[in-house]
Amino acid sequence: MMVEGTGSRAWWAFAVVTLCGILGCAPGIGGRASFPVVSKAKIPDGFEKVAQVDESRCTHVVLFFWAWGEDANHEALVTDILEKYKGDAIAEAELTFFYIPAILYNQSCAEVKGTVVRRSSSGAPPSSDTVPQKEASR
Amino acid sequence: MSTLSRAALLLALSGLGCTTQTIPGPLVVSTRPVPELATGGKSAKRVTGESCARAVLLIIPVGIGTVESAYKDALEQAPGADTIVNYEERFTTLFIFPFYYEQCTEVHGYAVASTSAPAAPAAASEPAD
Repeated sequence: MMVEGTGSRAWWAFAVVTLCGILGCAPGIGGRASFPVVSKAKIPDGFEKVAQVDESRCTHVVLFFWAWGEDANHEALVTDILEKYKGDAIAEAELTFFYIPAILYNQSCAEVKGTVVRRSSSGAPPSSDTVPQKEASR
Repeated sequence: MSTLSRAALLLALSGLGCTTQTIPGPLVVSTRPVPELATGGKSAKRVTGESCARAVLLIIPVGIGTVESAYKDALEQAPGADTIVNYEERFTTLFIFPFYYEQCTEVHGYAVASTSAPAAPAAASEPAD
């Protein structure tokens, strides 16, 4: 009876852990974002390179009770980077979200690699949008 | 199996996290409008892309959802487009314990051809909503 109980508990523990793993494989958790523009095109002329960046923001949770870190969110991270370098966009960017779905220790990190670019002094943004582009809220 | 071994096994299993790229680069992203690259003009088409991760009975995965495939799904609705302006990611979850779990990633926005893209076909030139 005791063996059966242990086996049953182990099966449920395995199921829960597996579910956590599956949840961890669902991309985008914590990576919620809205951007005025996301493009696979090359950055046009009129922008100058400012800096290469490789930055991340992580949230850590231990045993559901202790947590620290920053919101692991790409939108916030991109906003911070652009403010820090006074840039207008990140070119050649790669946005990665890393998640360790462990029960004892849970970590989620958003990472952005790329090149911060800024409008060169000669380049002025054109106007005339039919669909008004809004800045991100963060 | 001792309690310690079981705990170690569980810890190892649960430590198998996934590294996931939301949208593999290279791409241009900004929290500010970049009209030199693309604008939501008359050719902009409102698109929605979706990709879902599903699991049956907690442990049988049926499909893996990625933002990349949601992004592709959205762009495919406007041939010739390579950019999404006013990009938004949304997530929906459906969990019928313990039978079915579904998490879908949705990408919303306006698909347009960037200034550096080849001439967009007619399908991408429908008026924006």
